[in-house]
Amino acid sequence: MEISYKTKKRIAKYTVSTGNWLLRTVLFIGISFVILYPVVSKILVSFMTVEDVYDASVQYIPKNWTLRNYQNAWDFLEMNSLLLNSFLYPLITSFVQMCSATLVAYGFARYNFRGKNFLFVLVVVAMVIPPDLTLLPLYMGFRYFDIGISVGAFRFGLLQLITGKSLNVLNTVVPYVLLGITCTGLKNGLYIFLMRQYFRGLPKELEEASYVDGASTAQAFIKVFLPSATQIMITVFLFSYVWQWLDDIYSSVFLQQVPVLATALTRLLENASTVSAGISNLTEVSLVRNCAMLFLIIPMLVLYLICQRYFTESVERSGLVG
Amino acid sequence: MAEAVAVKAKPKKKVKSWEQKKKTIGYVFTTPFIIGAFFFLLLPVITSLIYSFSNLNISASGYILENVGFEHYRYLFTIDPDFLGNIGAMLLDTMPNVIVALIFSFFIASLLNQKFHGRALVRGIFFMPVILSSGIYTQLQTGDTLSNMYSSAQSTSDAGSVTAAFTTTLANMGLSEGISKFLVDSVGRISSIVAMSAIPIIIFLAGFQSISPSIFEASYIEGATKWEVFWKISFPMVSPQILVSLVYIIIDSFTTSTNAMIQNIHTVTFNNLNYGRGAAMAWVYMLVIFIIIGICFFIVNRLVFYYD
Repeated sequence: MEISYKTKKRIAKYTVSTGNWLLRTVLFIGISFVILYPVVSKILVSFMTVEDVYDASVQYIPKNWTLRNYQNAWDFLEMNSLLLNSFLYPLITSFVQMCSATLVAYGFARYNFRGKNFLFVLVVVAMVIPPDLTLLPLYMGFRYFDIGISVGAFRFGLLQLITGKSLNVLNTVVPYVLLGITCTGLKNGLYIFLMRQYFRGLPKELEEASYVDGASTAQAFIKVFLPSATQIMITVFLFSYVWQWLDDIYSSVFLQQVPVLATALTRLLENASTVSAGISNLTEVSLVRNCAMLFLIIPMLVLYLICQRYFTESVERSGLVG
Repeated sequence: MAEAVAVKAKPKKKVKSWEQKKKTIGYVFTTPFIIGAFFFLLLPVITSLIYSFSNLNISASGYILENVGFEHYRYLFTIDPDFLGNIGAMLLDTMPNVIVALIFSFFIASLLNQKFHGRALVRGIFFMPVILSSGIYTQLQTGDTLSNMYSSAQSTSDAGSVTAAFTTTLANMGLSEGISKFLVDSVGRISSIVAMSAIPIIIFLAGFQSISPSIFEASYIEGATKWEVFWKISFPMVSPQILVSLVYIIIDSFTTSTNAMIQNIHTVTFNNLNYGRGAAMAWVYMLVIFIIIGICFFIVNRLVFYYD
């Protein structure tokens, strides 16, 4: 029997689409496994006792369920004292970052002015330079905080002039707020970049129509552009919150005396500190570490799951074209 | 009304055109960043350059800078036995990952761009590494015996034989040993590659979404196959994103807190309190990053197709 051209074509099409489906499914399941496996195994291990870890018959599901590891980790990290700070500092910082990034990105996207390209190059530079390059000068700047200019050994400040002393604003929220307002904080360039792409994608008619209707610039921004930008703002807020929460570079420098979760976890890197806390068994240390890591990621995972919808949609629509 | 009255009251005053007004407003909106760029970007960068040429001593009333010229740089390049080697080792370690992550994220994004059941779920999972690849988390992960035991549970049991079979297959296909070793190693590092790919996947997805559907319609009407459409339309249209992603992956992998060099600089500066040398290290390292980005930009930019 001869197979007609049409049938051949249909078979070919069917084979290709099945192959595509198979490849896609296998790949997605495999990679989802790579991503989820560490988290799921971590959660399961967190309920195990020390005996379960040594028991060869226990692979994933613990025999003796226990919450002691959580208790131990909570006590070791002194979570009671750092929980409020850990939530509050990122909250303030990311809110400030979101607001100022929106303003600046709007200016970049919708207005032409002299020096705009140069300024935008600076945004990219802010993204590229390693944080450790500016961290030390910033540390010094906030340690001897003053309203004025400080380059190298040269310093001129109003406070120094008036009171003869500079302020120490480390271990407060001031460094974060100042860096946030001026869009120079952690990964802040990326937020300007994302927002700018979004505002650039909106049609020019939107603006013109509002001006024809008699709106001022501020009104056009607040009543026309802001409402349409809520999704991307939530996304930036989410990014910013997650990265502030997880950040250990800035907080290890600016918040040396204020305990936050990300820096408290570094104590778990050395075994000596756990020994002094009365946990000497290596397996037990591991279990505590395991729970501490869960403390770090679970709030963020929950937040992420809540905001996921806004996040994927808006990032897509921002149409990040170079 | 108010504006009209103001203009009448002062008829001599030059009325600004709409375009001029717009320029001023542009400055108003970007003022926060202009201030920030000066105080928290430009001044610190200059300051750190000055630090790198000096010894910094902290006293009760403030800090004293003592100029030592090129001493720190001389130390790094001629005396320090580790510094240059560390940079080299870090580059050799990171660059293969960067390239694999770029290709990986491109193909995953093109798959995620298709319509299928459970797409939202898969996307949700694929963006999760943004959270899981943070500095301190990875540091704890790698240092921990228990999580090592569990994360390598699947690889120790029967991965050896699979790897061997895979290598043999590749050898039979006529691939040289170097390439097959590279491929096998890449599969072994899949979790770190997936972690690096989260944001590039988003960038590529946005690129795929921003292609106008009319171009696809036109090419299908002309009789193009899906394969042709992918390579001759989708690929050139997202090529600017290849550049953006490449630069992002390089920046991200070279400046995360888990990067060996960043940790090294951080230790020298804030633990050993050798501020001057830390600043010099940061400067050398930043120049290395700039050179690498420059080279990549130069190579890739010539292959990029700009639609408008």
